Amino acid sequence: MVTYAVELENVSKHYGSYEVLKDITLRIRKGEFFSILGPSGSGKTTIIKIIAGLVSPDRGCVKFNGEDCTNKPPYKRNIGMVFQDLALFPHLNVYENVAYGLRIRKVDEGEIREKVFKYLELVNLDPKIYAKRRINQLSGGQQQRVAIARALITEPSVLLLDEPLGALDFKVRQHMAMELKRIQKTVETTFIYVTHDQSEALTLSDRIAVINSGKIEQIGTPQEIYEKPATKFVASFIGEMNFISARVENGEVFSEIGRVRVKKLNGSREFLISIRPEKVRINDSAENSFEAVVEEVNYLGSHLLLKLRVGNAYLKALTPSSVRIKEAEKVVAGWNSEDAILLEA
Amino acid sequence: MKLSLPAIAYLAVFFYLPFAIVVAYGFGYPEFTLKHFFEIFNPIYAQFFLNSFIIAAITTLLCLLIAYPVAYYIAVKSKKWKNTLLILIILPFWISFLLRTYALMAILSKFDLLFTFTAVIIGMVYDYLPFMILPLYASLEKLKVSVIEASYTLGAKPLETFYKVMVPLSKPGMVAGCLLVFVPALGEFVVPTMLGGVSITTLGTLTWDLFIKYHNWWRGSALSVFYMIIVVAAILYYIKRVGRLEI
Repeated sequence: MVTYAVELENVSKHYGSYEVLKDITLRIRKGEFFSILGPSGSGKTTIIKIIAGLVSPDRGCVKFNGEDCTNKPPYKRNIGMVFQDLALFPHLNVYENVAYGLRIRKVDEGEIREKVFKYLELVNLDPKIYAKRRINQLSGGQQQRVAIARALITEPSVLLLDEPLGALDFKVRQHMAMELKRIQKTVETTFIYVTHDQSEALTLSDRIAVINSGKIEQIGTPQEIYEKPATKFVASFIGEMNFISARVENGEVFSEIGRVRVKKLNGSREFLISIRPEKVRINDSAENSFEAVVEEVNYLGSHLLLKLRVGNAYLKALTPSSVRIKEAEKVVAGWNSEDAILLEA
Repeated sequence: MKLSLPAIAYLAVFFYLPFAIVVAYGFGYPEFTLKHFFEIFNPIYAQFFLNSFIIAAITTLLCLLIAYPVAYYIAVKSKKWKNTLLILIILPFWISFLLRTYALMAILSKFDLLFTFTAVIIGMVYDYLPFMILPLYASLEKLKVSVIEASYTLGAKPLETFYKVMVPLSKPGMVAGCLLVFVPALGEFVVPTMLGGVSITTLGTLTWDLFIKYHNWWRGSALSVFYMIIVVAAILYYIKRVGRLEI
């Protein structure tokens, strides 16, 4: 039997009459970079706080390495956490912030010093320069690194990260995301990463749980989530997606832009055909082809994002920018049935 | 500048001038001598100093213990509740201090506590509590809940978190609150007199007796000046502290 680093079983939580989490079940493997992805207010921070023990669930249980820890306080859970606002101790310098968890564990001074230096080096902060600095003398990215070192120094079984990059500038943010990946590979600890940024989740994660309004929409690898979204929410939240409503009549499929061929029907009479913009073929042979008018051309550098009108519907299409297309041009747009995903309407 | 003249004149007539007279008497007006300052260190007055110190110290300690949880509770509440709760804390200020002390006399006599040491402490804590709650609240309000949570996730139990995180971060508020309570409590006159009666003698009652009962303005003045020096020293210490703690 596989033991998981963290398991949530049928966890529910409500604040007043507001249901934040509805029957959440998650199994996070050891050493995995697992992301919880959802829009703000979806309940993702509540999930991570329940794992940390900072919030207790109304129903359900939380297990660490197979052991029920639902009623264990956070200080007995052997976790590390990087907070949204970092929550560094403003009265302590860098060294003492990082050393905190070891001081609590009454580790001897020599070992503390050795480990503080080791973990500061792990997060790429030169201890000789930064150990004595005050927290408010550091940049946002440096504070981030201190928070990660502080959370990892106790060698927790799992590191929880609650949108830690939210406050950083775009460039620093991208760089820190890559740093996180590197650090995770080095320490091989289970990382649980909460974010609303789909591109961050796709690049960093081994697996992603997409959550919306307190419910899990889908759990899977980045490829699965992107290429085989299970619900309309997942399809629209991650990347761009075209939705065409369709229905089945006498074994044939009629969509809002005309008759189409689909790969296989899932039994429901009404559904959505979803096609990624990069799967829309322009002036190229495709199983389903329609005449279209180019309404907008957005230059993205390597690609063009086109807005096409097909009858009364619109399609977004992504095409290499080497293809010369102008507004108001008439084109043929289409897709192959294997590139379309059928979703419940 | 001109508009501030009435206030300056008012203070000059009712505070600086009388205080100058007190200082003059303290130095033996119309002579000049330091003997009155030596007189107040007479062993027979030691009990007064000691009583004042004990009352002020107990009051400060009790206020700190009672105020801390209250201040923290208000600090973590939502904005709407904060204002309501803060108004409830300062509500007693809207009623005359004397009136409240008279009311307290009536209550304490019901419990046979009037004119006891306990009565004085109850009255002092009641009067000074808001002065402890408000600065503590101001400090605790800046403390982020996530910092406390971070301490928990790093393995610190609630009590360790309190000593290692909350106490250092709320120190400016604790120092301010303790000074705001201890210094005036040391010179308090009304509460010990009204609730303690003749049995409780303090620096305040001693000053009153020296001026009014014994007409010894010189000794009374020397005592007042000495007390004033303690107050100023405490305030300077606080400013230095606060400067270092960067609030």
